[in-house]
Amino acid sequence: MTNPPAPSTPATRPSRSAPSSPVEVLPLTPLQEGLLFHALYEQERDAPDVYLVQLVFDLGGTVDAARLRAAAQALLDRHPTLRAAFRRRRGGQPVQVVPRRAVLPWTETDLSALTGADAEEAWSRLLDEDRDRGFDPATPPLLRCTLARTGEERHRLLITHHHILLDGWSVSVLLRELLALYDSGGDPAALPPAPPYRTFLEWLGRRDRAVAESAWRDALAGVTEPTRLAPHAADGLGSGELVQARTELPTASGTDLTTLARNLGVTVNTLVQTAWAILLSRTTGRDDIVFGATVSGRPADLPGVESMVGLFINTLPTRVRLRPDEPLSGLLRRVQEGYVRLLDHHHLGLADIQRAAGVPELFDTLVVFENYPVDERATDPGDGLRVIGTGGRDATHYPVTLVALPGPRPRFRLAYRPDLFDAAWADATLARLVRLLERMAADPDLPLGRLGLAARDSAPAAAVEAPATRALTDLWTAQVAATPDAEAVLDRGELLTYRELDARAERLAGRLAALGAGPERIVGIALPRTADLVAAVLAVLKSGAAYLPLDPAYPPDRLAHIVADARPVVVLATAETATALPEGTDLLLLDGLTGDQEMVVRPDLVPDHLACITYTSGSTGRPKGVAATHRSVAEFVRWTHAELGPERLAKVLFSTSLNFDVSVFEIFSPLLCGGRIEIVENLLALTARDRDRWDASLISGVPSVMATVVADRPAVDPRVVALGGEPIPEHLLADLEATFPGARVINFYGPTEATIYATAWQSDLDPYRKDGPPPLGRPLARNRLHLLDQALHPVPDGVPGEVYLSGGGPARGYLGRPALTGQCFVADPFGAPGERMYRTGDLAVRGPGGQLRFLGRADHQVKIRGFRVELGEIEAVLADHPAVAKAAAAVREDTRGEHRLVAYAVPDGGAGPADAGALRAHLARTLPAHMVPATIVVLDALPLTASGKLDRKALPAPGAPAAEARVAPRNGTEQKLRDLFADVLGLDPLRVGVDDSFFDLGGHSLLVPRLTTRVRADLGTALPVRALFETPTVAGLARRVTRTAVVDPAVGGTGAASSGTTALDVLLPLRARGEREPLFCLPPASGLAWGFAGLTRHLDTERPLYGLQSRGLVPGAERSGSLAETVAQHTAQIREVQPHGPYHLLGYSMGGIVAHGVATTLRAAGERVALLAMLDSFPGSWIGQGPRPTDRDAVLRGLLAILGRPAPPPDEELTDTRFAELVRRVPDLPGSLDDAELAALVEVTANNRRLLEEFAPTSYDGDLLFFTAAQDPDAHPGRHGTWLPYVRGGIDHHDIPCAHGEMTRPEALDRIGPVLDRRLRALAPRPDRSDPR
Amino acid sequence: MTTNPFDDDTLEHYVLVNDEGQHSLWPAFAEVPAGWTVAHGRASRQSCLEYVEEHWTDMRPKSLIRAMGE
Repeated sequence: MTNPPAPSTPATRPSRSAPSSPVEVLPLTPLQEGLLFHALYEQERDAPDVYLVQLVFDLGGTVDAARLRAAAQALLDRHPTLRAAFRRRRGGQPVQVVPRRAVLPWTETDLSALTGADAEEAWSRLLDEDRDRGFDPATPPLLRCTLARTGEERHRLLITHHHILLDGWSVSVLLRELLALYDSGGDPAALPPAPPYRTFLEWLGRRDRAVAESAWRDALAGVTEPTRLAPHAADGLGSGELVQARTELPTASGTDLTTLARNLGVTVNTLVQTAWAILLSRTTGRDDIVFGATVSGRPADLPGVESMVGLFINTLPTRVRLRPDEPLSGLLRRVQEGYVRLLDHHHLGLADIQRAAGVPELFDTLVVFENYPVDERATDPGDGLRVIGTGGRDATHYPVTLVALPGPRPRFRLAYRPDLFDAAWADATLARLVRLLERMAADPDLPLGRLGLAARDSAPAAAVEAPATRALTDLWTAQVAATPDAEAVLDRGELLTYRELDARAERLAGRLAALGAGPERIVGIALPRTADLVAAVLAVLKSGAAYLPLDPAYPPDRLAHIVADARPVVVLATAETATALPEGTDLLLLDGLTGDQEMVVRPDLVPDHLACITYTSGSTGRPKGVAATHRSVAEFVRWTHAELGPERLAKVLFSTSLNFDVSVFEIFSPLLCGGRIEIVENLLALTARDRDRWDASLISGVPSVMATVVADRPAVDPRVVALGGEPIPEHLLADLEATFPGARVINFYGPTEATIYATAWQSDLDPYRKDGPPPLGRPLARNRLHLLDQALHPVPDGVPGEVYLSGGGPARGYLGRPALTGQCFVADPFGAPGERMYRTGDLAVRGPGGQLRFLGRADHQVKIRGFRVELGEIEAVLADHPAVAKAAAAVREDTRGEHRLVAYAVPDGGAGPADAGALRAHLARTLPAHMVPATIVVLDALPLTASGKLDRKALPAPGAPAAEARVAPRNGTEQKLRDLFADVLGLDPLRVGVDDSFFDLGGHSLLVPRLTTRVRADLGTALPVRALFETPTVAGLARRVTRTAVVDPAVGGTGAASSGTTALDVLLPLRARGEREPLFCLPPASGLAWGFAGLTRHLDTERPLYGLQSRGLVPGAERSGSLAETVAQHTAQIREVQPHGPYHLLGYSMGGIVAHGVATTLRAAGERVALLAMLDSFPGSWIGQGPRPTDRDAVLRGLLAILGRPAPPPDEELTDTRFAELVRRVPDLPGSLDDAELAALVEVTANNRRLLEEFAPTSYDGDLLFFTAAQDPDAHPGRHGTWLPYVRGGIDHHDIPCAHGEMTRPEALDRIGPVLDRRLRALAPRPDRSDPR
Repeated sequence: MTTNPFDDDTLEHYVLVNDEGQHSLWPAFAEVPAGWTVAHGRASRQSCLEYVEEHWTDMRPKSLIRAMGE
């Protein structure tokens, strides 16, 4: 199956002008088109063009300036391509225009009087001025020379050109020829005729695009996201000049690399690319990466290509998949093979490759290997003129470019955007690259995973503290002896001293021991929160056993599982709580317990004995018990004593459930230093109104709960607020500082497996720059923290890594789960011999100053209100239900920015219907409340990635119709259409659901005719182009195709879709679904809003998009009588869709003027207008320049321009028939209109032009987002300022390099869309919990 | 994104054991850390996990077992 040539593709076959013509007109190569686009873009926004290249040659010997100038002019005469200018045809298609002759701009200057720094400064100034002069792509030649005399027999020749003319290889050809022509005094006969660049363009025109596209699609299959070193770059384009860092390898290393390359049969370029691939992989945490690489682009089968001058090079994606166990030599060979396999397809432009791959952006780094023939004669001292040195400035627009210059001492330049990276980063990156290359050369058989990025530095400072030597019970006994009469526990009215509490615990311990409790045994605790709970904890420990919290509020199924898994010798309960426990559990009920002292137990406890078992969510559906030792707890408690002191621990609120190990902190830190704990049900008790004052020196909790408490202004004055369990929002920190002035805020971090907490940040000890959530701080007690990459090497500072914890914190393991323990608590290569580390699955980065920042999870564990939740556990429980075949769970942010759990279930067809309510009840029987999803969505199938894994990102938002999940084709027609969609869009068919919109999938208006042509060829149905706008889905089109075939094939399907929407209706729903407020798009004078369809793919999928169209487009319908009426109609249509603000409006040309009117009308009605945006709309001046509405010929010509059709010569009369013929030449949407519809379109356009003259703007009291068509013949800088009198807010202005009529073309929307999307996202409502008072 | 090597079924692993008798899964490409010896593998990850499940029957550290006089 091959694609027919796309109508939108510019012809790449050169059209030779008549011989008499003074100029030759040639097409552009794909890269030239890209460079022209950038040049115009930079020109419009007055930024320097990064593709201006300055080459500097130091000349020795006597230089005859006139002779050199003649030689340089001869180069221009010889190579037409050096005389090329770049323009756009009326239809927007770029061409290069080569005049028969162009005079080389030549400047001479004498700097020889200056010395030292003065000379360098003058030279640098000269370069700057030369750069500032730039080039106008439309004015040839885009090349000039400056000859500066710098001393006796010393000159510098500066050759400045635009990169669009030639590449580095061509420069070396030109230099060789320049010297030869200099020798001959400028006589062109000295050289053989130059092989023309045109032959390359012709060669290019003969390539089979479909074959190349398919090869690239295969090569990039499975790539769904770009590989970005700078994920937060503001936009894809650089903001001007790049900064460069350099390094050079020693000769020995250079030789090693050459030897390695030769031995493996690969190129040095492959070595460099592979090293860069490894560096990218480790820095981005990906095992499948893409970067850009430039290729010479000179086809070997083109005669004379090696001495051609022109732009041949191309920028292509290089994709590398890495495995840590693969030997480097194997990887190098694979990279080389990948390169060779694509060699025949190097001619395809990057934009086409990206489209074929279905990924709009693939990379943000570029590797350039400068390897072109070096001419020995250039340095031949035999002649009077010698080139004794070269230099220069050039750059690319990518955030990072690595340039490799091979040679005996290979050199590297790293050019980077200074707003994204700094010099230290660049130097470190180059050093890492060099280290990787040297290690590669040293041992090519090493598995890739043995290479690390960071230099092998000295081991991190070992913990100085000694391990704890006493068990918690010993510490408690000592404390009771020290402060027997101090207050220990306050339980509502009841107060126990240390002595009393100890006695109560002692009695209970005796009974437990009698029942079999002892060291390494487990005793369950299922008690209400009273003083007895604290006594029970102490009693279990005194008996020698470890305690197992069994919160009676947990679902019975879960408690049963935990009891069965941990097998406690006995469970402490009350008559009431016992009912929650499984039948047959051995119980010791506290209710009827008498006060007899049974026996005194003194078990022989050591710190390595188990102290407590905490069950946490497990990814396989089984909760797992973390077994913590006395030592880990004692060391944490010791740290709190040292850091906080007894005063801050004097009165601690015990508010956390025993189920969470934070309760250990709240109980033992105070009770082992003489402090008092006060028992409350939970932290929200502080907000209860039945108490005037709370006396607490320390309160602790989860940030989200603490935020609720703080909002209620609790009557408490703590000295410490301890937070943990989830990142602290910045505003909470500010609120805490305001509510509890002077209190220390501690941000604790650490999973249960590392025992309570592993790191701490303390607000008064560790200042931080307020540029994000507070950091994780530093390891506490005897903990150590490693940030490791995917091959277990420490990551450099600034690079994200996974958190591994070692030292004193890690628990013994998971109770009774050796295999699980062995894969989570693993050997620590950085600690003492035989030590273990726990891998947390958390991601963090170490920033400047060593502060750690939490970045998220490496897996699917999530936190909901501080509770740890494994999505896998929810999925496993849900899938257990007989009616469910498959299940998935996800966390979604609702519109208020809060996280909530959503589960997805695919019903098992045979087991009857799955009802969301029944499933929810099923989940609630097994899972604790915080793990039961708020919403359960029933789907036909789970969305899968190309590799067949669950595509979590594609799970539909709850509330959206379930059909939004990718529904597979249900019949032959849908199947065929689905495959056509996929083919035209360059997607894997599995990624196209029958209810997915063509535009959401990446389609734009220029791809529509491609699809309809294919439908006609493959299905034999003439589908009108507009059908795709009316029903842009496979399912919708299939219904249409079927109906057309059945009802009347001759009609050809011009009927409206069943929904009643037609492409000419006043309201054109481009995307009707989505949770956010819609964007309303108002049309230009043609009244058609179809062009906005291309915007869909750039906007958040939750953002609906509606086009508004002029009323008279449907033949026979009445046209609007006045501009005020148009504004009123559109306002009414908008409010019908969205009754109240905030509103988002976008108008193109006349649409902008109407949008301005709609916005002021809505404001007058008291509504909020969040966005007013315009595409090249101008009040006043613009109107004057448009065609007179009464001049039908001018109106038709204007309409042709809007529709992207070339206008006939001015002397040709433009009749309606001729107009229709011109419109229908292109098989796009306007081309599908019938005569009556076309006539109506012309009338609407003429009418709209007349209405425009009524424009009498009032002032709008908001901001304006403005896009100018910067390449329009009428454009002049600052034109958007004509809106200043009518807009009271600010005007945010963006230049788009296109003509007025091209603003909804894909290239322009590629620029406009992201700006709009960013703006809309920034407007999206954010959670505001900071001030509910 | 990548898979953590300890979770990656496509990689070969070892089972390492330290002086305390504690077991650790370990990806075969990485250097074996000091204080650990290879007890099983190179083998598939699954085989290694089965080995651990079968052989690490008493999860108490050996020093504790000794201290408890067993």
